[in-house]
Amino acid sequence: MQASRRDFLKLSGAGALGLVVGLAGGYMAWGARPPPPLQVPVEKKIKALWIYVGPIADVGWTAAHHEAKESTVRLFGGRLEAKHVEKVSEGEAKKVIETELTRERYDAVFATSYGFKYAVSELARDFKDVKFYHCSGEWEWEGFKGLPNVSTYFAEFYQLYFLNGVAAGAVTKTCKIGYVPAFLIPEVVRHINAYALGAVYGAKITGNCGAGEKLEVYVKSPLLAWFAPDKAKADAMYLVDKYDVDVLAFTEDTTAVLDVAEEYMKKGKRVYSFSHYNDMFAYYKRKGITLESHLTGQIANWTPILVYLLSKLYMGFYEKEDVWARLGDFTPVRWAGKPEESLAGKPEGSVYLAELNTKVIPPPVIAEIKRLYEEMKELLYEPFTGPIKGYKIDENGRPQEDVRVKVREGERVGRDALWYMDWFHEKIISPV
Amino acid sequence: MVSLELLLAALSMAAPIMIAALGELLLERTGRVNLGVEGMMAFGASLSIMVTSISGSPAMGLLGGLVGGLIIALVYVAAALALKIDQIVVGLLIVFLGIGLADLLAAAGHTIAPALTPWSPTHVTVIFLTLAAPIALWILLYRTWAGVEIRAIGTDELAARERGLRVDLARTIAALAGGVAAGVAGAYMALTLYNGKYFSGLTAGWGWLAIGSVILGFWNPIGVAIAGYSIGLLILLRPYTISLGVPSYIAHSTPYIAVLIALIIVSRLARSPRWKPPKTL
Amino acid sequence: MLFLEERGRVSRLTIILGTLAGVFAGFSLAVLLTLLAGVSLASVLGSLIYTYTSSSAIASILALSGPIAGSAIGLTIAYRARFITIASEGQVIAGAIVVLWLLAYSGFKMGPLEGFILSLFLSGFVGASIGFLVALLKVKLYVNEILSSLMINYIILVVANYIIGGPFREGPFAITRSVPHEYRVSFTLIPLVTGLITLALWILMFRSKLGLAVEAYGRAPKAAETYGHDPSRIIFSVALISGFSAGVGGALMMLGFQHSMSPMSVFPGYGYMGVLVAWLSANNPLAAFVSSLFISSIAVYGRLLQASGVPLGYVLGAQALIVLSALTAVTLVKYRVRWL
Repeated sequence: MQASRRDFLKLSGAGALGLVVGLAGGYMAWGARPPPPLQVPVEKKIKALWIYVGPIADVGWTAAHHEAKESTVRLFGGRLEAKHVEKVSEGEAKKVIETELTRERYDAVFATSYGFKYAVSELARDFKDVKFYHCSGEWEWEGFKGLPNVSTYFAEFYQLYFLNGVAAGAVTKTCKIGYVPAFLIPEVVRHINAYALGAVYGAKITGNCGAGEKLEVYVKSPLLAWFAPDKAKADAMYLVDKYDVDVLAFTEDTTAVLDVAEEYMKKGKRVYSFSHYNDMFAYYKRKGITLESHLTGQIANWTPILVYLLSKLYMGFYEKEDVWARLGDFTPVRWAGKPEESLAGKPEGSVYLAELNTKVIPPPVIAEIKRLYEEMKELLYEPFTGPIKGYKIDENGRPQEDVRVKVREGERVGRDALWYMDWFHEKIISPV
Repeated sequence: MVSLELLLAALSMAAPIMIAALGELLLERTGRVNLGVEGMMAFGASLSIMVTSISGSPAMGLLGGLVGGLIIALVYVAAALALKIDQIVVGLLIVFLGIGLADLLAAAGHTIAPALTPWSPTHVTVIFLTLAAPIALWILLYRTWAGVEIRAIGTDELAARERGLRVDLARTIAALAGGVAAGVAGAYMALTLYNGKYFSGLTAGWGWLAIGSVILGFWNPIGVAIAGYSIGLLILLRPYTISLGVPSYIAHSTPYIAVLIALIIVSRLARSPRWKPPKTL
Repeated sequence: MLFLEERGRVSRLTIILGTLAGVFAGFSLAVLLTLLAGVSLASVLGSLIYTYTSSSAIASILALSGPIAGSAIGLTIAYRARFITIASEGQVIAGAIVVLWLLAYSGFKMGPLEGFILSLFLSGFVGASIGFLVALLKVKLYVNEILSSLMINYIILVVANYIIGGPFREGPFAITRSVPHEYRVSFTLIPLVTGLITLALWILMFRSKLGLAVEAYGRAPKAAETYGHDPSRIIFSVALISGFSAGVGGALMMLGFQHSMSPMSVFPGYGYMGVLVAWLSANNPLAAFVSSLFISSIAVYGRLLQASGVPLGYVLGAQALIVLSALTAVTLVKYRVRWL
């Protein structure tokens, strides 16, 4: 993937192709604001279909995909025709996509839920001239093997969760931080571990909580639903009321947990939380509310990934590939910059930190977050570097063994171990 | 563990169940049942978010929810009371109809609005009314002539008709009041519990929990309020069950399991001759 | 004051015609609603025509009709006995999951035919067990079946999501394995299975002692009891039958189009659609079979409109509107409405 993207830049550097240059030019200018739409005459159009699992109004996962779709259409300036179907359940996905594909001609289908994988795998066989892009990036999966028209993409958050953890470990006064998970699947487990590792790091550099010794991470038993604001709310309140947790991270598709933190804040109890997938701080700001409880958070901007994939398709350079976007990917400059010039906390690339709360996070910690953020772009700093101790868990988060070494001294965890992670960091107390 | 704060939080959580249950109680006291509470709540929620989003005022939104519930209750009045189509069937149809119309309304684009801030004056007013309503209802049912009539209609419709009581009028008013209550309850859920958002499936079965509360409270306003409050408390305490070693899937089912168990107990009690519920379910 | 006056004898044909008129009126209203929601007329008409003419949409209609008909046909006999269960939703989900277990997790070696037959029986058995539970609560503990079955549906939803994200998880995300290709059934087979259930129910209802007892009990429980019909036996029987049928509906859903499961944030709704169908068809199994296809077509139409921004909740809402309109029409055919 890395190589193919470099090829792509080389192509655009050659300047032979107007569109690619235009879009790549847009890339270079990509910072806080997206580039203006292309002003090149339209020669041909491509048509793409987006399938969403949730409602556009969720302010989370689906909202992020929808906004990216809209801005990609804008950027393509009339070259891309797009349609979307929201709230498609996994069982219906195949029929929904099939019906659309037989009714109209599409060049590309973006299936934005891991649950659509069977549908994509089966339809890709029947519709050979349609390119399928499956979001969740399970590149290794057997069902996608040998299908040249299926690509995968994903925006990975573990680095950002580590940085969230650094902020959490630095600001916690009770030395207890919490997490409300939807399911304890490897993706969420990986994020929780990164958050715990970051919190220990943050406490260590500030000397907080006995330099991290006394820190505890409380993981709530899973919600068993991606979308469950009522349960998420009750669980978040529980972590605060029963365990005196004062920083709450979560995986749930709404603002419910952040709302709970804000409510406590208004009542004079210090509780912090984060943005998830979408910049919820900015979302509330647009509504005229400035959140006090918002520390930072993990945000996905799918637009650069979509622009990259679709311009290749438009120009006829399609190739089967997997995009696993981490920090530094899809940014104009892909190496570690100076911390003081870092854009940490501002839009950049396809995964970035939400606005850093400088009122609460001490300046040296902000500086450290920026330094780590930059180093992570070149993988100079990897959160999952040994020694790390932990214990295996089941799907309820219950320990299955005693704490033992999970990553040896000096070892770095590769993609497979990240991708199928089934253990919790030793500081995690689970399930509560 | 149990603090005043927790009890107040439970009150804020339970309020929609209590409000909807008290509305349904009034109708059931007239010998009719409307199973469509869930649908009336959903439509009330959707309309309230639309009104709040346009007007900018959550108080107006509550009023919008009231109207929303009333509109759907009219369907019940027309179909079940006027045309005498099976009330059970009509009630269930209203559940689906209300949710469908609510989602359709939301598709017009108003799904986000300013929230009704907890413990703001408007919110406190709603909570106060929620607490005052069971007492007012109790006085109405047991200390006024209207109450005597309502109870007479609920116990024996034919006798009530023979005595010249306006059975249909009483039921119509009660059904509309039930709609109003459910609509406000839905609006409250969207504006307070979900911070000013509407989304599909928002009512999450709480309308059914309200109907369950009516039975648990044994058709007595004070009892119903206590039952509704207890279910709200249970929802809030649901996470605590995990620390007792209960698996997640049972923990998340607690409100439903609790209602089931309570139904079993109440249904047993209802068999004993000392208790006389109105003839509804 | 408004009151209803019987029109005297109304022929069966008149009632059927009245129902059809009501369905048509409700359907038109439902279509009108999509226009009001801002969908263009072209898109509405296009989707309507596509729903009833394209082979792809018709295949969908037949496929979706599996769980709907499975629920509805069984419910007709339950509702005749005034056993108003709505557990069909949970029974469909449970039936589907147990079939997924059998074909993708159990490791049993079976041919396609054995797998198919075993699936139907296993899912039917699971559905019947849930029905048994609801009946037990009603007969032994006097719990109202509407509320108990609904609570059970919610519990099944939570447990199903747990199984999907936990023990059945396949790969790094919350999704299960999928039914192997050799066990999947074509949409043409689905009406055959539901047709067989219809036939069985029809015989049971009109040609058996149980049918007679159900009919008698449904009309006048007290009288039936004095004539020696054991009410608890009747209730258990209809609960088992309707549960079995809805469970089989779940198998058809899994084998016909679902194939795998991911966590559900709301009910899939096929069991609830079955409830609507049962009422629309006046608890007649044959009518339920036909109505299932119609209600299924509304689901397909609604889904086509999803691409134009119509929410999924519209489907059940539109279906409820149609049934309500049909029931209203029947009332107006049977009675004259008078103002006093």
